[in-house]
Amino acid sequence: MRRMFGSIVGFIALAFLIEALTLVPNVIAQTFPSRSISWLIGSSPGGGGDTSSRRLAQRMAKDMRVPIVIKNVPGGGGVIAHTTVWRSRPDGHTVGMYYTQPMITAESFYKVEYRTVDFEWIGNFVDAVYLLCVTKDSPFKSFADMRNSKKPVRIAVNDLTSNSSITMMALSELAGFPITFVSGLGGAAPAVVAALRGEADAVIFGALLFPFIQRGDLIPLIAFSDERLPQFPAVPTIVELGYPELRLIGRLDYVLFAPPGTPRERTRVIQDALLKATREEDKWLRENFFFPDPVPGDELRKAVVEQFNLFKKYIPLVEKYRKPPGR
Amino acid sequence: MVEALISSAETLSNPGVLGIILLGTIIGIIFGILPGLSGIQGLALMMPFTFGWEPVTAMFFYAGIMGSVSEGGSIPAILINTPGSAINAATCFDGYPMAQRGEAGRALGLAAVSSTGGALFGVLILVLLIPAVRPIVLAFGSPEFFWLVFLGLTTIAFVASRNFVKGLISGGLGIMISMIGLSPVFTELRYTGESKYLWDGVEMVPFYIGLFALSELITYTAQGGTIAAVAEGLETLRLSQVYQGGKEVFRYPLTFFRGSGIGTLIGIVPGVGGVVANFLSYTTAVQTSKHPELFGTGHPEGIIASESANDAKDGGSLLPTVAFGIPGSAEMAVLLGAFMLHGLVPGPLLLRDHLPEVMALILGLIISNVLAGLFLFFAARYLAIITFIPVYFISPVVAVLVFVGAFALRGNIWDVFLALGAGIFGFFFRRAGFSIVALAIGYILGVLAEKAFHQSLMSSLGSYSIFFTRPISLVLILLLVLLLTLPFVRAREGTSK
Repeated sequence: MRRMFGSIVGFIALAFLIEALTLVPNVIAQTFPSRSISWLIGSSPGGGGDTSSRRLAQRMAKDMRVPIVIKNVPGGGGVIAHTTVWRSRPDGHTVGMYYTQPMITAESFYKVEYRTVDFEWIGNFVDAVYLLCVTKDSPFKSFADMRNSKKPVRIAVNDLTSNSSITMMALSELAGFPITFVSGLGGAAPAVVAALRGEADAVIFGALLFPFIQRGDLIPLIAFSDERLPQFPAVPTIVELGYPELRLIGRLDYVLFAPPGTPRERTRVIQDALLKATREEDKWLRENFFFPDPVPGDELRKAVVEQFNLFKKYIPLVEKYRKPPGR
Repeated sequence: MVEALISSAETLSNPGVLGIILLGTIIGIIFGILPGLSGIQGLALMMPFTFGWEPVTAMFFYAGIMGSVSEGGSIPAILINTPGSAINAATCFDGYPMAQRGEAGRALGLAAVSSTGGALFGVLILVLLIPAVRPIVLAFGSPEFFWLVFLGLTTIAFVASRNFVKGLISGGLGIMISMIGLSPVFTELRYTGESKYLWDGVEMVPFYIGLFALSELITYTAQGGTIAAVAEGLETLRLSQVYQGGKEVFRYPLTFFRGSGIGTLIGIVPGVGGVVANFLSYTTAVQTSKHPELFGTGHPEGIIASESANDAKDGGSLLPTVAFGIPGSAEMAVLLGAFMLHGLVPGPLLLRDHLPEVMALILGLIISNVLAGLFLFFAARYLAIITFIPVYFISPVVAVLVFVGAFALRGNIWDVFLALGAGIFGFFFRRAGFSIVALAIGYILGVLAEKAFHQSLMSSLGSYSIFFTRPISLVLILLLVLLLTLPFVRAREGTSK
């Protein structure tokens, strides 16, 4: 009798325990987020990533019912911010936002603590679409002209380890035409002005080139995208020209990530809010020359790995260009 | 453009607009007064607060900050020999000796009128040149930029005229310090060791605050007494002294207009900055004066040359900013970020699509400079009291401002250590007879010169002829030769007489 009573009590206790354990994820989900979320950006206030982050974070904060605090942590091209996220407690209350390409190049060229592919990827919200453009007075009227050039084609870029530079190095290798860079220009507008002055033959940047194209200062030759852009239907894509892997240059422009080990059920909460906010702000994003591309975390991780492998393949080319021409 | 400006002026009838400009002006003056902080930090720190504002309102606010920072910076330059920001450095040369004579009010009056006048000159040129901005900005390429920065670097020779060799060493050391960090053109890390802190180079604000403010603080604390060494003391503080200083600007119209012209022109060339304008204007005034020996002793022309140039550059630097989306100065780079925050896409269509916002910037600059000038003018005699307070009371306040300013920039404690280290280094450096001004010029301009040099060679595919075959480059080389040879020619003329 005593034994049966003990068994029944034990069974009931076990049942309660199992029930309690199944409730725990719900409890966790219901208590996350339990306080404000820190959203670290590895650049100073005011850039495209900062602006769009603040816009989306406002909406997400309403959905998630906690404040989302944007913190600008400039320095080292984002390395300081990414290292801070890498070291943060993986409880979902600290996330980072940046572009994947400089994260990859920093890891490839310099000693950094983090490993890009090992972050917990929450979601992508904006893609860039890169365009290779020439001025209206340029002797190059098409990519074929450029490919047939005997003299090095001078490309205006931000710096030699940027995604646009590495993509052009790859294109030069694959298509077999010589290039050189006019580097350190500090942005799309100075690069365009360098081209207009005749100091460069071409520029390769994202949507910040659009106003110059609309004004007639620049003519796009290639769109680094899967499909032709509705704004420029006559411009061939890099896929059509036979170099499909190079379309990854602009993908994953603004991504959200968390420290490694952050529970997936927590990143999913943030992911859902992010993707919803991206869809709701679609009109504003497009008006400001962003290309909304909401991609959830699992798919994002695969894309990051693909992009990482692409850059790793072509990054060794950078050393070839790291000296002044003529030497 | 003038019609658009006049019609936009109607917005000023709204007291809220004037209030926003006034708020920006007060913030700008505060950032200007605090050593090492400048319009860059003012704009960057205030920007997040403007999220959600109407773009026109935000532009008035930003213009308020930008227009008054330089005038605020002249105050510590004159009173405690510590420029509020790098662009006020040359003001110290004659402003501080004037304050030491008990004429701080006169110096501040000179600064107030020169600054306001220079700013209005720059804005006037901006409005007149906007229709023609494109060919002007396109005319200055990397080679021209290199020669302009090189001209700025040659001012090292004049700044350190007491000991030429030590001056060159100081400038050279500054250039070497500017090379630390990621190379802007080849993206190689230089002289950083394993430090992430040095990745972006020696951070300007804490370095600058330490080098100037802290080293000067150690110097005058060690000396004791008061900054102004006059028997009459506080009796010299009268509005009439300030008024006398303000009137004196009109006695030197050539110096004023030349300084304003240099400032505006330097502002138009993107990336050169107020430091070059400041020193170039001062150096030119020295070289072309009939009495160059008076400069550095508290001569009014020194203040006029410096302050008119560094305020005129604001109007000039707006030109490439609004016309192309290229920052004409470091403040404009932050302003471009602010444009994006408020949905204004920088670029060639900004003037077409957002003319009211651009007009707000221009109007705001005008009003802010006038307000800051009035503040400086009427507050001068009260500010000048600082020069009669024993330094033991001033030093702790300045020290707190230095360390708070260094930390406030990025919340990084290493910035505070950098400021401290730079301050101690600066103190001993000066005692050994070297020039921290020459070091600062080298530090600010060194990497700019390197960038322009390499970019010129990249665009010419390695040919050095690019530096010597362009018309504007040749004019700049000629100016450089004139600037360097004029003292010798004068010395020879003096000997033969």
